[in-house]
Amino acid sequence: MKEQHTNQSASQASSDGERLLRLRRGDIEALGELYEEYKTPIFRTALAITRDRGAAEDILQECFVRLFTHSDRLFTDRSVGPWLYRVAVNLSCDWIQNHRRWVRFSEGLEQWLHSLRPMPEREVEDQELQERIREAVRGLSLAQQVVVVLFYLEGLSLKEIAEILEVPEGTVKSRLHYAREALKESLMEWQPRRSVVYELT
Amino acid sequence: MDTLDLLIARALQSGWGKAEPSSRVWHRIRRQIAARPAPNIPTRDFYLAPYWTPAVDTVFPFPSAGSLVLWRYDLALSRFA
Repeated sequence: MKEQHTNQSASQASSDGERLLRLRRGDIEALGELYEEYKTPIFRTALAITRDRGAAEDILQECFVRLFTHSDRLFTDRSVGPWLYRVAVNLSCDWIQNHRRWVRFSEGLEQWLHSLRPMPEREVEDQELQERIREAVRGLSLAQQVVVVLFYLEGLSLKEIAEILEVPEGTVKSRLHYAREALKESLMEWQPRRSVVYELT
Repeated sequence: MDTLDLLIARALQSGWGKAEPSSRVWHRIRRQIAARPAPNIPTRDFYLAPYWTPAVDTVFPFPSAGSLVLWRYDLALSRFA
């Protein structure tokens, strides 16, 4: 399994490397191929951190313009995925720090609109729980939020996240642990309407 | 993965798992790249703005203490050789 993953990473790195070489010669088609491959995870990550579609699209755009500009500085024997994730995470964190007031306002607006939609009770509960978790994630520190998004939404390993954030694997592990504890505590306080009990470990 | 992990993953997936950027983004990227100025080699006026600093030896034409020690060490080595 591990060997298969390694082979996959190696082939990914070689195809990315070949595209980077073409990109350095000004081949925009190579950028298009990289965009098709990475646009969804990069956009999703930026969206989950900023929670603003417009901002996430701007960040996606900036990531690929930077990839074009800095293609001569990237290693051709590695996948460009971690580099793109790193740029997206940094830009998303910068955006959050510059738009804190707007984020609070738009979230309040979203919740109000959500409450207007009629739904069956069970669906409401399920949506409420999920909304509660997403809200609790929003309450974490920015560093913890990033790790939670990369781990649970993108399904990346601790090692991959450490590479993206350029921090030791232990730091990622500890951020994830404390984030998990905080989320657990937040969910313990939540009382579902139909007394569904989730056993949280 | 336990219940809490599954709940968190499910909440994040249902929130943003199917999110896709609009097709406008790629057009914007292409436009932005096309509008970039071609890279140019910086020109420097070597006559008006010299960027070099004069070598110390041209001001103080004596060897430094360090080089004298090295010179003597070299002599000592050659005597024992």
